[in-house]
Amino acid sequence: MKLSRDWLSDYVDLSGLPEAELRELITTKIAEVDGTTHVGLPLESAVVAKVLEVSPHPKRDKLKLAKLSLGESEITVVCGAANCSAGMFTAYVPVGTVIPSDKGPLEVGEREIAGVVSRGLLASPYELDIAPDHSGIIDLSLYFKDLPSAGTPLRELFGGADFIIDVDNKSLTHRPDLWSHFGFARELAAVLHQPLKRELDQWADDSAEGLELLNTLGGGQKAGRFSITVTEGSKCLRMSGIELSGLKQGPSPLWMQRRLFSIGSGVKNLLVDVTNYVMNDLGQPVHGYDVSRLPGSDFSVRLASEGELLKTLDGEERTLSGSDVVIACSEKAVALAGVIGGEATSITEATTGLFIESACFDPALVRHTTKRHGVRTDASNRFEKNQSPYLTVYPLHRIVQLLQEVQPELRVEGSVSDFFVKRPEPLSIVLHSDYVRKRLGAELADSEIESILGSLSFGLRQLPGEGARSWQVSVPHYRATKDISIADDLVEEVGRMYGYERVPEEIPLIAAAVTPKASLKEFEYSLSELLRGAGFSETYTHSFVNPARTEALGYSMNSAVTLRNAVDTDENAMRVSLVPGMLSALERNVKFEQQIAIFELGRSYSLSRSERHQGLQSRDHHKNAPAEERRLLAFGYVSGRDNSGGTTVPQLDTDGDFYAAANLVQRICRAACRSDVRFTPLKNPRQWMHPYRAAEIFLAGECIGEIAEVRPGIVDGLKTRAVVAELDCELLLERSLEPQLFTGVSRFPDSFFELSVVMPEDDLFETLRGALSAVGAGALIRGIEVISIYRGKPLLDGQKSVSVRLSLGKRDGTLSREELSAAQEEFMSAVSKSGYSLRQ
Amino acid sequence: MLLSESSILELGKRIELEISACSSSEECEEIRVRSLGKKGEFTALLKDLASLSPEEKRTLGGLLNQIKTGLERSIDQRKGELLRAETDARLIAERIDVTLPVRAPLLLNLPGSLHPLICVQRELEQVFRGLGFTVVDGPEVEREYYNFEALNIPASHPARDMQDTFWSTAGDLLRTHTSTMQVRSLERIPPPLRIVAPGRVFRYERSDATHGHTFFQMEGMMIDRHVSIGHLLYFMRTLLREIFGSEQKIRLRPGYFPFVEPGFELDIWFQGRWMELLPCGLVHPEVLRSTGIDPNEWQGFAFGLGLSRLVMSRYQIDDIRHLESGELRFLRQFS
Repeated sequence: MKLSRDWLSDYVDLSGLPEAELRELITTKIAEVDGTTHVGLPLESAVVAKVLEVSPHPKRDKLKLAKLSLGESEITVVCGAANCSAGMFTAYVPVGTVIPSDKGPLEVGEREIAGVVSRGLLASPYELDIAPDHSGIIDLSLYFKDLPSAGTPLRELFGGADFIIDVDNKSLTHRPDLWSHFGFARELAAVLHQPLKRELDQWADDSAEGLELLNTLGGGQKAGRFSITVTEGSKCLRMSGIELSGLKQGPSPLWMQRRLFSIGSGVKNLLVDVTNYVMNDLGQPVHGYDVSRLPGSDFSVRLASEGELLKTLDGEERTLSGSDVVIACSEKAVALAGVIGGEATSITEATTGLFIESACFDPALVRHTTKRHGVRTDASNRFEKNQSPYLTVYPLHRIVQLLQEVQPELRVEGSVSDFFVKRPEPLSIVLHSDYVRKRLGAELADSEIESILGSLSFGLRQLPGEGARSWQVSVPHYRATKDISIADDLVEEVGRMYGYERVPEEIPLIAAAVTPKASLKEFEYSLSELLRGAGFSETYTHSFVNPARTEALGYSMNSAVTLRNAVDTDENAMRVSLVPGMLSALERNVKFEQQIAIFELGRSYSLSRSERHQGLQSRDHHKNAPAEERRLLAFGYVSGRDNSGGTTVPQLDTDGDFYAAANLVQRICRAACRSDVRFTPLKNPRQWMHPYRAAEIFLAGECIGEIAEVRPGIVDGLKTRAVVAELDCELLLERSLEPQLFTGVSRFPDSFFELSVVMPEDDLFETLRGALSAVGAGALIRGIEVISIYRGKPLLDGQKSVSVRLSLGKRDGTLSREELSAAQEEFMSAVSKSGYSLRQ
Repeated sequence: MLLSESSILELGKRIELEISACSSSEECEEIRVRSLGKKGEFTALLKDLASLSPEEKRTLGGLLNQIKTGLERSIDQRKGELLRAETDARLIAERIDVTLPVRAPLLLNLPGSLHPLICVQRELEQVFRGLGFTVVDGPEVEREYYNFEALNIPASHPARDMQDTFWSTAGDLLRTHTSTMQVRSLERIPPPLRIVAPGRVFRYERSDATHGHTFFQMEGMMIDRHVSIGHLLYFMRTLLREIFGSEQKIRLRPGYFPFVEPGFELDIWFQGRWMELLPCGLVHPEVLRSTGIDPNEWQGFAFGLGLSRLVMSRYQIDDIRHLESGELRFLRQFS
């Protein structure tokens, strides 16, 4: 919401308060300021010009040369405005002034226009930055009966530039009383310890003055012809209205246009502008109906009937539901209550009679309606905040007053019609001064609390008692709707006015207790340290994915969490794995880097739950969570080497990137105190995987992750080979917590035994190891190392020879020659029993 | 060759045979050039068309185009099949034994790095653990209750608009703040308690340099017998001293959050301007009540630190989108 300093000054004296200080005061005591600007800056340098004569431009038909008197001097400028004529009093803007233009701020310069030099220009209200009118240069005779003399600075006529403060609406969510200039001025007066220049609160109609006003408005006791009924259940708290006749449409006065314009509100015509003006002045939304377009004189507020139609001011034909509330006239809906008026009864250029409605609605209803119909207005914004129902009548009076200034002949047709459903009970709260001091942690005197609350119009009645004071605090009606309801709310009022910066820091006395460890978090940190040490960079990718792309990479999205409102409509699901994001990150980096090593610690989200995960200790705070969120570690590795060779490469198979990455997985598992990690080929590799270079990662018989080379061609921008792995951190952590026991240290050296086994290409080393370990001598094996793998003559096609070296030993001594050869025999027969042969 | 219906059909048939007989995608492409290319056999027939009568042009021309389209389709199809087979063959040829014991360690001459967010988050956790706070973790996909109702934000409350929310099709939401952990902690840990809860949060808005739809916060809460704003200030100032290494110029101003009362914002003076860093306040009695804790007996403070913002200011990162870009040129600057 935008506030004009000039407008605020109607109610509170801000003279002598520097702009920066005003901004700071609002920020630290009242609400958040989004920004500030100046409006009407050209007024600071513009002067009144009398057009002495107008002659045609020598070369351009559409332009004229205007000879001006600026009082002391004369000057000729080029002017394109159709209304520029001799004898006219208008505004001259000198060189150097910055004026608004369609293309943004523009500095007026000395300009040659088709051979004629023009210094400065004649300005429209728009160019003076005071009103939206851009149709011609300003004609001062329209606004001043006594014409000012040429050369008079414009700031003497209009005031100078205005300072506009843009307050963040969100910070006013709880303050219905601050949605107007009067409301803000009232608050500023309290902050500045000043009285208000004009006090309006006594007009609230629960006061004696208010009641009198209610009766006298309209010049007598005669009742108006319009009746108002509020139907039960319609969520309307009150509706008031008054009829005016003998009106004439036209532009609103320039000062009003300027104020509306400077706070970014539209300017339309007198009768519309005046309702907008009063809303921004007093905070109460009011709506004007053209009396001649109303179907009758009996207003009611009622629930809409299902399917009822209403064409609203914005041109939308709306179908209403049984939970919408309408204002109806002779049963016909004429406005969507609290939100927007109907088109058929709206003010037009021909309107001469008005019925002005000023009402108050339940905030939940208004919120519901704005959401259902997707329309928000200045009125609905205010009602949503819980307006006080005591504010409906005074704005009617104010409208009459404003209109009378320009149209003294207008008539008020009878007194105010008013239907007040139920007057809210006055609210009062018991407050102990000790409570305030204790909550704030500051030593304020009782009198200071009294003075602060008093300045904010709270009524204080001291309760009897010794020692520290207590009060019965009565809350002003405009703050009692929701904002202030308990003693803590009053503590806040005292705190912000007193100044939180004055509260001294205080070290609390707390019980010394061991704080439980965040094991998973600590574990994850240790993993990230390990990966960093290995040359990997940590990354975060976001949690949203494109489901089609994810499926194309081989992940089922059946249990994925999907979004109803995605920022990017393609990315409307939550990730089920970190891999798709990892692949994209590799793709993004491959343009710039030869070698890529990145990792991410993050979550996947799934609607299906595994009992295994639900039982984990790290899920303490996930009770009743809508989705199962797994903590995963993924890494991606691009070595930059040509890695396509596979089995045809003469070196050891295990030199490839897959094994390098598998080595890292081993190290990760070792960080979890596990040296028993196993890789087994994936039976159904995912689409993103190289089908013959993909494995599941097993720890203690449980799959804890996957590792694979990326299938060539599956990721468009990724032309080089890459390996990606993903591991479940929680399972890993749990395995790491299994107790470890000392198995003794052998004092005796190992014996070694090598053998070369010829086996089919597709058979796995794991099979061979299984066969060797299964025999009795298997218990002696302390390590198996692959020395080489040979293919080629004299082996047949599809065969390989795997040479392994076994380290053998036992705890209580060295193996004897006999033991060793017996073991060798056993191993060799195990090989042949598996259907393999030994290569000599 | 004289252009006639039979000659066209014959040529078409011959090329179709060649297509089905070819054995590699490369060969397939050769056929395309040889027959349908600029100087191709079939293209030549089209040129001959010029010399014919309009009547013949129409009938033979139609036939020519029909056959041409058919040939193109056949080539594409056959080439696709062959390409797939060739890739499969290549992938099989590349097969490895994933069970081989790994010998060569992964040795990289690269500067590894930790994400700046995690560095700062970890530092903060250490500070708070030192002050007796427990680090807790909770779900990011959350029940409406924990994100709103339990925090004194009922369905019709306009404060719901303060945080544009991502909704799941199942009717749940992505947490808009780590404040969800206030009630989750109160439900599990009996008072007195002190917790911090760092994590990812989501807001339904387009990303720009200063706003992301995803960012990181750290919630903190202390519940005890007597907790005042003075205590809150002590923790906040200590936190800033630890993170920045010196006393910081701060400002407190009113801020509205339905789950604290009083509520305020702590701004920090950074590079010549005030930066919003820490919304905080005393825990609203309703929040305590919603978990069955008597507000007359227990009180507390809560704060929600903007981690992403703190990281950006500490490292002078100008665009929040860098944090999730996954780009090594960004990441490697933080070792």
